[in-house]
Amino acid sequence: MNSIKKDLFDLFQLDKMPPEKANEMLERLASLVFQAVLVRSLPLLSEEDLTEYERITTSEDEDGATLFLFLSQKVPEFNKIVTEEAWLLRKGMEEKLG
Amino acid sequence: METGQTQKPNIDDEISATRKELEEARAMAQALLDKKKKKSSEPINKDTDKDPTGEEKDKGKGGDTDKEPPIDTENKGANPNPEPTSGQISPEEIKTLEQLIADAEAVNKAKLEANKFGGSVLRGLSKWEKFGQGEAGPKGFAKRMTKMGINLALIGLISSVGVQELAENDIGTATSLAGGIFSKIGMKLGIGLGMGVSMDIIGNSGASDKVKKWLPKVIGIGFVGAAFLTPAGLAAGATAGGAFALGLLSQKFNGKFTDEKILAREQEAKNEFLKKIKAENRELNEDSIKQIEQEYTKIFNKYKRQRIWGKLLDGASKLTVGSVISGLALEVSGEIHDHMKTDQPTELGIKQEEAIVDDKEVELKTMTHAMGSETDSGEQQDATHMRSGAGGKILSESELKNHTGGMSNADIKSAFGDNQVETNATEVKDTVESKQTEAGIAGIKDSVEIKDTVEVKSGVEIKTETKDSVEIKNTAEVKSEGVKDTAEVKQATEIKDTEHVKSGAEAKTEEVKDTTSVKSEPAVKIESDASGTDKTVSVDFSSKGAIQTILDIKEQIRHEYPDISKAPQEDQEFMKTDATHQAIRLGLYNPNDPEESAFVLKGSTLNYSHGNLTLHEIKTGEDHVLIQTKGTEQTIEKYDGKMFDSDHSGTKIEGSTNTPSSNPEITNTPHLGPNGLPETVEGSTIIDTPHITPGGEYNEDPTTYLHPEEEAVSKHAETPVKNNSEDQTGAPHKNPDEHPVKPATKEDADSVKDSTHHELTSKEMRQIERVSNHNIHKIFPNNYEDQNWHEAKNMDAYKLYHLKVGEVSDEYKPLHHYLHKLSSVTGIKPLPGDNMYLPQTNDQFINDALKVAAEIGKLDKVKL
Repeated sequence: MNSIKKDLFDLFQLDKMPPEKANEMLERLASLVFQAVLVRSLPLLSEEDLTEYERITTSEDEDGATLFLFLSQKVPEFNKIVTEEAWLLRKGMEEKLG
Repeated sequence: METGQTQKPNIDDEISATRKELEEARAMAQALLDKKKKKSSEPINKDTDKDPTGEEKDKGKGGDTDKEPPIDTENKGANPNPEPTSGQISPEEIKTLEQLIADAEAVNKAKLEANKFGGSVLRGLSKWEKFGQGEAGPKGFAKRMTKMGINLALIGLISSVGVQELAENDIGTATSLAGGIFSKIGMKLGIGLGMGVSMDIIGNSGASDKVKKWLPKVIGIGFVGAAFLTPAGLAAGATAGGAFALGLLSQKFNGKFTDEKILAREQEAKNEFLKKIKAENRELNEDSIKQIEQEYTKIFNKYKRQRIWGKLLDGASKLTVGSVISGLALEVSGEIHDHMKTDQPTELGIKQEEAIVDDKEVELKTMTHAMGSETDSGEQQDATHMRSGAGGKILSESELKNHTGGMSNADIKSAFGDNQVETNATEVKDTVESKQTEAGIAGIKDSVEIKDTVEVKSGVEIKTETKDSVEIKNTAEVKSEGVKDTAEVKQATEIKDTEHVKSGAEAKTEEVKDTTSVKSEPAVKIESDASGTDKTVSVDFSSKGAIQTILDIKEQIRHEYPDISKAPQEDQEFMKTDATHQAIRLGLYNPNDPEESAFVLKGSTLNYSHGNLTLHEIKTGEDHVLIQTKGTEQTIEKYDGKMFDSDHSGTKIEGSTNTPSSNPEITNTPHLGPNGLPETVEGSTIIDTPHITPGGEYNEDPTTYLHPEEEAVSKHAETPVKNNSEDQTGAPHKNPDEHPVKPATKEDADSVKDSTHHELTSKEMRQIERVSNHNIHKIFPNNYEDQNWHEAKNMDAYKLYHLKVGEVSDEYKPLHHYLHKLSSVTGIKPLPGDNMYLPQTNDQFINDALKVAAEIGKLDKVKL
């Protein structure tokens, strides 16, 4: 098994879980990151973009993909934020295991 | 770390920060591992004392009794006994992990309550969590898969240590993989959806046991995809920390990755597979996956002999498979377009939709490039660098040309194809901070433009004296490919991240500033006279040897003439000639001698100008004319300087036996074979690793492959530059320079080691013809009247050669065997096609192989 895969797998043991459970864990972990990203991202949006954000999040016609695309376009250094938040999450979890 | 909207990122700071992050991560991983070793049987502290952001709570550690889950940070070096990843995690361990997540959720919730944007955040989170839920049918399925892909990306981001590991394993070009994958594939198809597929299927009560068997594999694909996807997936064009490090590391690779073949095969396989699925109106199932995996395995196995590629493949091929499977699933569902269509009638949306509908090949192409492949120009990709350096950087056309060795957008378009140009141009545009909206998702993360900039990293020094050559050309064409505002390209005025420029290369153009010399890689100089017609390509003698140096020169010529057919005839001839062969002809490399490599001091250069090749030795300041071309007459004067045993083997390189001569010789311009291999020149031992085991099986073990240029690299200015240095690029050899030397097996080596190479005489040519006729007659008894031979001789020899015996139809088995026999005796094997050459046909390969056999005195060995 290549190192990436192994690392990913070992990181959260998802490969060793029943698929349903792995999926559930994945959703929760991703939501954690996403939430943290939102906390940091929204203040960076312009007023206009924030309005658009609110429209997307409250519209029945818009879905998560649209939201994600919007953020990735409008939030400066979105990737960096995501990276950092994901990193922090992992770091925190590892420390808890430590 | 807060990011401001208007603050321009400082590349140096980013680099430092990223490095620091990675170092910390590494240390953290090591510490974790050490703790794990130490406390493998100790309980876990359930009430941990830090929140996910690392903020300390006032609580001690180690006081709890829960069992610690077997977290493994994939530190191979520190953990010689990593835990197996197969098997099931215990319910207790799952609970532990769930608790960890729950703790983090609680912390986040608490933080949110105090946040003035809390309500907005919750709405966004809710939108995300509901995405794809409760929606039946293929549309809902597609949405869930997309969500899955993005979720995987998020999870992958958490695994930065894994990314670092990847970097340390020399999979540097994974940066590029990440750089482009998400924009086209991830967003549209949902990378990692193998897992999505799995989950969806597993969620159905009808999932059979048989189906469940391959679920873990598909899940694996998904996760691997996520790993690559991660840095750029959510990156919107810039870099994630780990990926950035990969970009740094990837600088050391400067080989040529031929991705065109991969693309073509991918497309072909995909189309074929999709057609089949649609025709049969069936779901993605075990057989489907197996089939496509087999196809892709074939494609990627070809590169396994490349050391770096071999490492990359494990992940990249799975990513590709996973991506394609995901894409296929969506295509089959018919929801691919609707699914990703944004409801905003924006320009971006229109562009995206057009991109999706009009050309799915872009997706695969991007994916291929993103996999770390290089362009046909041989430049290495590094999305991260460009991207990280980007943050508002713009490349002007002139810069672009300088970065691409003088290629304009039109040139690039010519070289890469239309779709590629679109990506390039979009990427350039994307670097404009103020134009993010227009830049669009499609271009945000694509790595292709970055790839072009790597040419700068390689140390290209371009002196452009002809002003016209740096002006934007054919912008309309570029624009028509999807770039909305080419003026943005024109407006670009500077490159900030000059760390790209390596090897002491001087960036003489005004746009490239703050050049820094990072490490030793060949500097290339292209000088033109006032008319721009007499170009001289000057390349630092490569620390990787003469062969690489010749390849470097060729690379520059290729830049000068993307359409090589428009180059002067002598340049075309030079390009067609195999670099290894050329090095042997010139006496720079003699695999038949223990001291096989020319003793050339670093700093020396090889200079090429219209068929004339000169070695400038830095120590003496003398120029040695190696090739002088006048009309069709070519004078070759072999290098007669000191040779040395670069590999300290004390033995000659197996598989080649020519003896260099110091005597000048005059030959006619060699008649070139179908693969650019001179047919009647001296020193023409064609050397290639047969990769054939004694049993006749193709040896695909990447670890056993040694490129002829494999050796350590000289690093000091006054040390000789070896002619057979290690090919660390992992680059597949492009035709016609795809001629590794060392046989794969000892038997192979022994079989050719003692052969005596000599120039073919007319008599021998006749013998070759006789043997050829004899053999064909043996294989096809009716010989030239045999329809099978007429068909077979023009078939792709490379393809046939790489088929397993069981895959070959009975009528072609003798021919298949013959190809392998030729290969095992001569050490060469059929050449694949690339963007310049068609694949070698059976007839061509047989002829070439027979000539080689004759040259090494083994013609009788190949007679059937």
